[in-house]
Amino acid sequence: MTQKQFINALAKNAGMTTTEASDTMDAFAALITDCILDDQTVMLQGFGSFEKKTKAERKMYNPSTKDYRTIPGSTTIAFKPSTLLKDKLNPGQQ
Amino acid sequence: MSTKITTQALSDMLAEKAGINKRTADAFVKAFVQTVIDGGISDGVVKIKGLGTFKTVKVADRESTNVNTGERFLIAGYTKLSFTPDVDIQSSATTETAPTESETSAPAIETPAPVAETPKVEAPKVETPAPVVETPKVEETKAETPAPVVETPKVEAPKVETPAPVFDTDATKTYEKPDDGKPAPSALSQLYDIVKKYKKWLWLFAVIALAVIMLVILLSKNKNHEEPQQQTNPFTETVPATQSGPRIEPSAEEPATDENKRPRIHILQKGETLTTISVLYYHTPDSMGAIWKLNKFPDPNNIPLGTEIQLP
Repeated sequence: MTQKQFINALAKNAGMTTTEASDTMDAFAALITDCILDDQTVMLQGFGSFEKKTKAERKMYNPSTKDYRTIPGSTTIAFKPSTLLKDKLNPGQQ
Repeated sequence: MSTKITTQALSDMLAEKAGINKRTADAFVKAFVQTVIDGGISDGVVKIKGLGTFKTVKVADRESTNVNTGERFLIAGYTKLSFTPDVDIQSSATTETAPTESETSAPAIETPAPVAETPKVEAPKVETPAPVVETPKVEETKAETPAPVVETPKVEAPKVETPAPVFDTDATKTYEKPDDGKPAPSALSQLYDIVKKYKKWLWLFAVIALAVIMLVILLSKNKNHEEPQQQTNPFTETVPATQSGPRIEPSAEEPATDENKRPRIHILQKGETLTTISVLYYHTPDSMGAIWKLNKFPDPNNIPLGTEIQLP
């Protein structure tokens, strides 16, 4: 599903126009991002939770060059699906 | 600790941010969830600009082992929803955390700098005494000034190589200068420095010296042991008196130095061998073969005690 298809479907489900849905989606994405980057966990009921995950700096060994290289730490956003979502994706499984 | 934002709180914030009423915002959030799930189930991939990509991934069936019973069993496959954050968010997240890292790392970078500088500061400190040493000389004799200039690099360079030149140069210099009254402490400190420098070598030298002394003692002991043996071995009066005295009654008092006086028969005692008998009577173990031949022992290593041995 592309961005356009998603906006169309979202507009249909939310009872909005496509433009309204697009604008609101932008605001919603920015809101979620801001909250996550503020070290907050965003929980969407029946869907899952988004949270910031920090990866520590680590050393990597390159066997071909026999060289140690430090990979700097990074920050990413992790999504953890809720059990309700798992049930919806896997109907008939407990 | 991270605080949790619930769906309700999020829809309230969205209403405020997007300028829509709360009911619409709530409906939008619910529609968002529903659309992503539907899109994930139907298409497998849902791309959302500014947030990321949701993908449904199928995990195949796999076998596993029950650790307690050791039985193999099948874990059924399932579908999961994975999320990959947008590149922009990823980069903004890393950049946002980067300042905090740089703040923390900044002092870490700064700290080595002073550490690196300190040796630089120490170096001039070491150098400064040298000019101080030289200055009085300059005051005393102007002609000597070029000489210390040449000497100072010598003092710096051979620090590791040989301590002796350091001693010599300082001895001439410091004893002229220390009218302040500190000649002894400087020499002592230098001696201490040298001892400190060559501490490891001193230990090694001490160990080697000890080993040599031990070797010498051992060698001298061995010599002492050998000498008494040599004294007893010769076929003099003492040997037959102590060893063969009780055994050879007829020849106890007169050990066989001449062929006439030598007994013709020897009674074997405990601890004796043909070799010892040969040494006893003929001063050499070589006659053992002759004794053996004469007596015709089946096994020369196993002769019963009290056997009469004929002597050739």
